[in-house]
Amino acid sequence: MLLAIALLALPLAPGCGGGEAGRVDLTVFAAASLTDAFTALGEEFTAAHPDITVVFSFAGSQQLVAQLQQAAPADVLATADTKTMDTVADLTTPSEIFAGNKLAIAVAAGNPDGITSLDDLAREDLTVVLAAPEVPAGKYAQEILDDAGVTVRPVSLEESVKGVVTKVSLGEADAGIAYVTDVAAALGEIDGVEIPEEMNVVATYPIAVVTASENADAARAFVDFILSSQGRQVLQDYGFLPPGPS
Amino acid sequence: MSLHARVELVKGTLALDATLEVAGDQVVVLLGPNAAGKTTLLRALAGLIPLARGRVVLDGTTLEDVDQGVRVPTDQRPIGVVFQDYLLFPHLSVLDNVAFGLRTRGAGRRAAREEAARWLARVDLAPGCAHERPKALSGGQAQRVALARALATRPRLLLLDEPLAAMDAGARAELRRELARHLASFEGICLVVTHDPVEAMTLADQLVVLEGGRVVQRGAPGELASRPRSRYVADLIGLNLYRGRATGARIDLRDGGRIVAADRVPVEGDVYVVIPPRAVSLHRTHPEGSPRNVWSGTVAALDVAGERIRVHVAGVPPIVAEVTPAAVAALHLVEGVPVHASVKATEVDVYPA
Amino acid sequence: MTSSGTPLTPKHGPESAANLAVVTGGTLTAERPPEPPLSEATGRPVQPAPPVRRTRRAPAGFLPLAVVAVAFLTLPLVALVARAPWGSLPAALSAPGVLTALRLSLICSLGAVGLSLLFGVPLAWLLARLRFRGRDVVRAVVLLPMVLPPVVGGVALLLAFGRNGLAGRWLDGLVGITLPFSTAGAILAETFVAMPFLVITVEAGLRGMDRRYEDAAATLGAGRWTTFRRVTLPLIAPSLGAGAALCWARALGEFGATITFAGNLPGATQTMPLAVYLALQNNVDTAVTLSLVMLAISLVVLVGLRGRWFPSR
Repeated sequence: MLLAIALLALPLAPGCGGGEAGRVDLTVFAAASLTDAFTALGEEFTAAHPDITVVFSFAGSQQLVAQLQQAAPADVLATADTKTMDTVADLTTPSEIFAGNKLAIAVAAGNPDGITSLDDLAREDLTVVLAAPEVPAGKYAQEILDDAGVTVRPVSLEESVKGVVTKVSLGEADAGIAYVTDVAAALGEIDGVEIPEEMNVVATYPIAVVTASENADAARAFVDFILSSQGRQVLQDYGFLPPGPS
Repeated sequence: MSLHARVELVKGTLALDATLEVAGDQVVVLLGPNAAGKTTLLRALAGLIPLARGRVVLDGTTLEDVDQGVRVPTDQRPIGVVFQDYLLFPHLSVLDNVAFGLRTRGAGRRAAREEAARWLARVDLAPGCAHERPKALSGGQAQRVALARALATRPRLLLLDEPLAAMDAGARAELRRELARHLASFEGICLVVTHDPVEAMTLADQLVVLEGGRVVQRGAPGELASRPRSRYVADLIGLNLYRGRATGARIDLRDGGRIVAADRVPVEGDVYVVIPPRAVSLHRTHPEGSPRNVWSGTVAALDVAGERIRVHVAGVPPIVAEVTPAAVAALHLVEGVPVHASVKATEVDVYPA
Repeated sequence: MTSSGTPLTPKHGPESAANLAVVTGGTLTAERPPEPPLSEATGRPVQPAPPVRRTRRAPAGFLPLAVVAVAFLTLPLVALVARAPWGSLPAALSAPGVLTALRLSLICSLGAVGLSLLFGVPLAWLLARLRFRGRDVVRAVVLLPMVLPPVVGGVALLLAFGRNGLAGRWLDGLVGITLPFSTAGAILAETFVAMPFLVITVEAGLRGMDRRYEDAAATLGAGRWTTFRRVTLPLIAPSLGAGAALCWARALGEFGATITFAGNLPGATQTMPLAVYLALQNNVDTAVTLSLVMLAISLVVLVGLRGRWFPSR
């Protein structure tokens, strides 16, 4: 009983914070594919700015933008593509590209089916999943396959790129196309097969301060930290590409 | 037709232990107060409750025998049941209710309905009712349908649980006559559960009185009416009943007091004594003449019973007298008044316990 | 006719009735039975009840609270209707994917109802009628999918019936049935989530019905199956209908378990909720349109069933 009350009270605490002078709660909306990297970056940022607590909300870029349009209390927005970021250009400061990402073929650990190229994805004996064309990863995957002239018959068009990784790691699918960062995060459960540079698509990740932020200074500091060399190093550790022309 | 049943079982606080012996196409009425186990006994005979011990043999066919591990399921017993609130299937028409048992026994839909219609005619149900749902029927109509439904399967043992209990008093007399007529023409053994003494007396060839799960008395209705063996039956019939020890013509009552009979009691020892309330005279002074039994007491209560007034006298023994309103007025009988009760020895009935 | 030859001596003597002087009721006067006839499962008395007008006045405060509840439940739907791009509605409805998703939704949800009835009704019967060790545990386990986040349910289904799942491995290897990414898989996912609603409702119906009707059927020669089919089922029809309607509604709206277990492929596993969710990624208008179609169909079906299965007094 006491435990239950404690549990009920617990999540209320951060929301009620800010009473202490000088303390800032910074809310960062970030694309789901940034989950691991941003969590690590948040810790480093807080170590350097002990007066700032960073709270992340990870979700699909579209959902984040939709929430922001309904006046969700975000200070910083980081999306997985510039197109989505552009739809809320009027709500943020000009965005800056802080990372890139590219796609890889996700295969079962040890690559038992011997998949070496995009052409293999057309094999009849393989069960392939892709992300749905409605989400960026799915759109990129389709572009790559079209450019390579490969016709794939996916059994499912997952609602997110994480779904692709899950299906491959559970063995329900033999292969799928996902971000290299997702493959890197799931290494051990799955393996990645590189897609040659000339066929690959580079996704760009923009970040911006929300205009309506009440913690604009802290938000700016966080964005600067992500753009700093220290921030880039962490992102690279998680498999992201540096920003700029590839 | 014959039925031999020994039923022993425990259900909740009730420990039922009863024997039934019926020879010939009789109507046996199971009479008893609430929670005496009447309905439970009926359900046990129908196979709806398993016996803990005992057996049920109908016409030489064993329906249940605990020792031999025989138990014929309800749906294979040659029985018909009229439940207390009839339990007509609310989702079926009256006709299909009656046809139900015929259908389960293999009749085609059409044949079953034709046969059902004949049964409805036999119980004098208006043909217009056949396609009604049961909830559209009056209580009396529902009772007829329930009877027709039970009879249609031509059972050898017909079980009726309080068949008239749901009727209002006005309709009851007529329905009782009608029921008596149907039961008389029924070829088989009929067991009727009731706690209504009128129903019991008018329907029964044999009466079985059940109290606390045990048979306390059985016999022809007249025999029970004149010689009750339990407080319940005596109450129903409206008699004063005592128990005591007879020595010659004198009976010393178990709970105090003494009654003298006209003649020497044929049996020495434990006896029942019955005194009809009408045979009790009340007096404000010690009566003249020679009634053999006179004792004093006080008026405990008065209640009206039809044209007469029943006067409860607290004394040793206590007694109920039934007197005219004129007598009550003349004697100024009110609660607390001291009175003398007298009973002629010739009015005292004594029989062995 | 004679009475049988049993001895008149009672087994259990009326000692307690030794001294009887109290004569209560009048001689041979019938009394009303104190045992009232039991009510039926339907709650309708055998005899028409006397027409007592019952005044139905709500306890203080109920009306405003109920109004708030209705407003709370309907406002989002009203907003959806208000947001609907009515002008482009016909075009959106005739888009190729919409009808496919709609048809698939109906197939899958009705399939789920069918499976739930086939397996859920016997289960509800056992839970309602049989006393067995661990019944409460079985009931709790059966109801768990109701509280499990559907996405977790989907993962659990993959672990059980997936290609490498506990049972799926066997299904795949020996029988050659692969459930994930198939319409059958979508039906399975919806059944997993929706069947508890049917079981719990039907069980309540079975517990609430007057079992003496089944006794009556037995005395009329009906075996267990005939009794169930001709008496029990019709008597619990309201519960069965309500359970099936709840089950269907839950299956129709199912998203998480379906997309996780069955995936999302138009024509095979992309039901309406999945289509709505994906449409939401880049075209809110389409999503709203699809949602309205679902709402309209559900409304028609639920209102249509109301008269039949939820008898209004």
